[in-house]
Amino acid sequence: MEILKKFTRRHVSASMIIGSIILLLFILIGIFGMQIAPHDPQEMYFEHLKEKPSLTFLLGTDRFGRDVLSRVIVGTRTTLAIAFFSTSLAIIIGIIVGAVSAYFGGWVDNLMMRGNDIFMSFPSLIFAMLVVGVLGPSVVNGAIAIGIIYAPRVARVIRSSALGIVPLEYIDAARVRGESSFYIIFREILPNLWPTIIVEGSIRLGYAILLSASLSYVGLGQPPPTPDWGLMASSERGYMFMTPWPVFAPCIAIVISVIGVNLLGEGLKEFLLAKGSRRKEVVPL
Amino acid sequence: MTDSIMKDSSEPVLVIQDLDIVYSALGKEIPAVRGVSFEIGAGEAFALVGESGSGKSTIAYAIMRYLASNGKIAKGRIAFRGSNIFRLTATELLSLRGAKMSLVPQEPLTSLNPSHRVGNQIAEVFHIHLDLSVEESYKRAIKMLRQVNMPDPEGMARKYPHEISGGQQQRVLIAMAFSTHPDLLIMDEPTTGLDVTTEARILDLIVEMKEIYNTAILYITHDLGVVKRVCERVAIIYAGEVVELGDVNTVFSYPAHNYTKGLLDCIPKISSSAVQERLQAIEGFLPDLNDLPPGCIFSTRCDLMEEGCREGNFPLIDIGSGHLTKCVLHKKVMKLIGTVSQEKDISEVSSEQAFNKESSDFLLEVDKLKKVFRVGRKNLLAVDQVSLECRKGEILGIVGESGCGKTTLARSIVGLIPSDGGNIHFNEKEIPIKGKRRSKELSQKIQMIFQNPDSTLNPQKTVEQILGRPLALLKKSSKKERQEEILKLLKSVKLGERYIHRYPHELSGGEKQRVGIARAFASNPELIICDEPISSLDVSVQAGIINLLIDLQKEHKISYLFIGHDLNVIRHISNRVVVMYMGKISEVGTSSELFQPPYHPYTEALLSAIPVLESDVSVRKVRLEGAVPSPIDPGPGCRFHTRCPRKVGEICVTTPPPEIEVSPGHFIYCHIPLKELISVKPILSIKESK
Amino acid sequence: MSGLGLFIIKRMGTTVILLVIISMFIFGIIQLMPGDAVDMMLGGITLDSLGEDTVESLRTELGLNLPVYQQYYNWIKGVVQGDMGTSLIMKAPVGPIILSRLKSSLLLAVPASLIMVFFGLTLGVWSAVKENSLIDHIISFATLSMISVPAFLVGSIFIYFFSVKLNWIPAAFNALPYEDFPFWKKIGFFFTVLIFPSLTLSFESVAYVVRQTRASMIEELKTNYVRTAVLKGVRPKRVIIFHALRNALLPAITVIAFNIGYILAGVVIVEAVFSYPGIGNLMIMAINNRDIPLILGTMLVIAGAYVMANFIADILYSVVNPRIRY
Repeated sequence: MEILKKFTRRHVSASMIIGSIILLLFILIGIFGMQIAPHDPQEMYFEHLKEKPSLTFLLGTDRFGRDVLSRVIVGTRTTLAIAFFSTSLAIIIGIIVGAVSAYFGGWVDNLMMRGNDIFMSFPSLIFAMLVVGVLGPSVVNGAIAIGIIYAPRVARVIRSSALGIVPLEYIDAARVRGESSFYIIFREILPNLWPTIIVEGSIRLGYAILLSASLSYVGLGQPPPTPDWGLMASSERGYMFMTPWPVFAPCIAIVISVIGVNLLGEGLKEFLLAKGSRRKEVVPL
Repeated sequence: MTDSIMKDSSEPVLVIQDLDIVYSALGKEIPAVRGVSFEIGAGEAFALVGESGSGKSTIAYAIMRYLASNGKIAKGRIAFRGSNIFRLTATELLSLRGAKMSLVPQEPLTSLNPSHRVGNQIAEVFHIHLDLSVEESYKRAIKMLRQVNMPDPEGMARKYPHEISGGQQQRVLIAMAFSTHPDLLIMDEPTTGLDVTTEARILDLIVEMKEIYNTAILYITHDLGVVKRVCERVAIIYAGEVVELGDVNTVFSYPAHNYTKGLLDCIPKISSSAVQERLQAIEGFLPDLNDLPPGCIFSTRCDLMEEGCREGNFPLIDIGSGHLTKCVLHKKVMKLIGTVSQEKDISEVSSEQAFNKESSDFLLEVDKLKKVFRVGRKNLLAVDQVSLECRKGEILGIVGESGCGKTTLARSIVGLIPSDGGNIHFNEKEIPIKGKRRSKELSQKIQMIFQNPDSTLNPQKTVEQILGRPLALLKKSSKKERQEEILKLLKSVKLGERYIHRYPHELSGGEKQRVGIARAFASNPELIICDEPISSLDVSVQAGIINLLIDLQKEHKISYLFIGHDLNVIRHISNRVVVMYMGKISEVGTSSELFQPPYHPYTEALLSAIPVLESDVSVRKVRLEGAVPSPIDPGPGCRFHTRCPRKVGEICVTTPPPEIEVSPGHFIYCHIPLKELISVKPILSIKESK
Repeated sequence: MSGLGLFIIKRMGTTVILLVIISMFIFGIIQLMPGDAVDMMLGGITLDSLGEDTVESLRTELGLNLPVYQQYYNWIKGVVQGDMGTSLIMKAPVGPIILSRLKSSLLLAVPASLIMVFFGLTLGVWSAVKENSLIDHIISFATLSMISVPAFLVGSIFIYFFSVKLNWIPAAFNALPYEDFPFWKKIGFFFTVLIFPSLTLSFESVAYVVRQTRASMIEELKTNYVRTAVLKGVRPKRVIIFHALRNALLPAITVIAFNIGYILAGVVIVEAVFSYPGIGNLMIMAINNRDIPLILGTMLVIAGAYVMANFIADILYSVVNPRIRY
């Protein structure tokens, strides 16, 4: 009740509402894709190859005569699944590494952060390509690869946020009354990190969608017959002179979903992190 | 001096007339400043005194036409040398700021650009306003640094802000402000956050510079003691209104507004005799600016409030020779003045009320405690072989400036940081140095009250959760039992039942501090370490917390280690006081022993820096040169030798000072023979009555 | 300056250690690949038809029967001496192949980085100074959209309009003879043709740098020392550049270094879209064909380039920031 009261007093921005509506829509499409799709995404209509949009095929057909719209709708699930799974993985590892590192400091922090540096020396796409290339492309491998590469980046954000809390007096008060480290990290520090975690999670989700799409664009996503946004965009590339729809339709789906997630992230940032940050004087110019 | 200025100030430098400033926030207009009028003559130092939220800074920045984008002047005018500030063009404004009107800000470190050398930052002013070449400007900057008594000005000019001490940073800003000989200088709490001995020297500098340049000064502060030292006239501002205005000596000796009197009574008196005498706290809070009370603005907190106070207008009324007040009951207020101050000789500070040294057992004994921090490859000796003991039921004060090791010492005792040597006995048993190694029961016996009300409570927890946790650890398992105990605790810190479900952000600073105190007492401790528990609070709130702490200590018969930097407050609350400098103890004694000769030379400087409000107390001036030196590898001798005004000679550098036992329990660590130490005049003394 | 020199040497040391660990990491993860180089070389041929002996001798020849650390040692020794092994599918030394492809990639990446730095900083500062104005909102929305767009969509749009519709640029860049062009023609060629993949490459990064610069400029403009400068009578332009931007550059440098990583990774996507013969396409080919020496080589080069970019950024940061003590 108190928490609700605390939240309702805050500023809910338009970007947050629009962002959450978009994201919710995509989640629904991801769950009920097969039911919503007007055609079977695998069905090849050989008399309708590379067609422009029509009433039967709202976004046209691809080089095998498959309905582009249905393939985009059904492809939502893979991308979102990878994005959500990898983001959750990254956040969980990131919280543990970041909070533990910040709380204990000293050599624990040093060791963990040097380890982080190694992972962060790879551009994320390159790392994901390496892992998926080695383990073989699949939803699980893609999600693990993206989760692992994002975990250190999340850990860094969580750590720097936790570092602002560790020296505070209420943490000292907990130590003085003899609380365990576990209690201090998870009951005293963590509740204060939720705003950071939620905002960071929404930012990562957007990145993860783009990264998983990029992976499948270079052929390290789902194997071909499965409808997949990135794969559609790359495999139909050569036929753009006939119809650009099979390339642009999945791209637009990516853009809308990522914009939705980013708007939500921006809104959440204002909503959660602005607390108490009073507007300071602005330089008159 | 004051008279001569008054004569040639025929035309005031600054005139503020009936000024209203409003901020718009969340669709509401907040009247932050209402109906403020005052003027400042040439060469006059005028103080604007108020607590946080009083609107004093808003006025200061409005004078320089630097308001937040959501703030605006709703009414009235600000005229500088006859011209309305808000009618100036952008170019006129540029040639006014920093040239004819300058500002010395609070927080010197953040007010200097971290990426530019301080010399260049001063030179910029000459470059912009006097159109001098870069080299010439730089030369002038060095000259200014010399004028503000900066050691090695050439070298200092080449340093970056983070490489010099806080006092030196403030000197740079003062040099910058005076460099163009402005007509008006606005000082926004320039010494807040500085150490007391540094503050004393900065204030000396301000007075000196003001006399050289005959600059008008608007001095913004919350500290009445500072006002007394620097200013001639003062306006007391409360919740956006000036409630009293007049000559400093008159206002402080004969306050004609109950708020002013309240503020004065909140500060422990130098001349008052009693240790732990109750202070007069002002109850209640600043009114909500969105919902101002009708009638007198102070009526919600005034203990003299009468029927008539809650309605009508309260203009400033002149009660003689420029002494203005808004209080209609000013006669009643002034009649009460005599009842507070008691005429007694300072040297007779009662030792009978002091804690009886021999009456009880030791609770805490710290023996040769040592804490070394690693800074790069070097060792920083934060606490060096400190021994002290605290008896049952005693309040032991520890006083010293920032970096003296008092907080490190306190944190080592509670086990927050492991010390590197020495041992601690509690109840005559040796206890582990590391907090983790101590049993839960032992941890609970030694509690801590913290400094910063904004970080002392976890913002995600309610008061109930905050107080319930230590009770749960005490194995008070039943929820009902705990609930009752929480209510009892809240009552003991004078907070009602309604606070139990609140979050920290719904509490004021003083209330947060009270919850923090309740949390410490929840564990049923025998010793509480109070780490500057009042230094972040407003003056009117401080007194209430001090009273509360003293009451609770007497009720629970426990001991305090009370850490602070304000010797006056420490003396007021403590039975015995330990004075620390750079990780070493320099003097130990009862409160009364510290206030009279013999003194350690450092104690002399601390005493001399105490802001004294009473006009019948005279202060012998002792100032320390330079800054606290680096505590890295300090050498074998006395730590104080680099700044000691009474340095004996080479022996101070090479040999650790001997322990001089002045009387049982009163120790001074100094090379000066006791005979000479005794022979000095007291720092604080009552003037001969005229 | 000797302090700075020492700092650089120290950072160089840690950079070398980091590179060694990265190489171990890459080498180690490759070991998880099912099958080894010999299996890859043989492709579809069944082991039985070749006979155990032949296979074994091949393994011995390639040193694959040695323990892993020995294999790593042999490989890294070769790398240090400039020999990165032989590509299994191209049947040629890996080093020279990578070098020529890297040159082509840098032709895209270096201009992309310059575009990122220039537009990122200027638009970021502009947006911050005009905070909450129309132009600020436009820039904010534009950059938010830019970071939401995958690079392959930007590339595809360029190809669709400038290749398919206007026929300005080729649909595939892999058969262009620009290597033999005279210098001036190369320049012209760059601005008419290569500018498109370069823009694609910088697209997302520009947006990140703008957003970071804007955010830190806004922070700086609210600081006490900017207030000091304004109240000193310093002109607005000088306040912005001399006082605020000077300090806002620090976080900008960090984010620029991070974005060099994005650009290096983006090379893979952009080269795929434009069929451009750079190191990115080489890497995709290597992975798809399980050409282990080539995978190792390309990965090491790209990770190494990123580490070097961060190293330079670190040095730059400490030069710009007087608060860092060496």
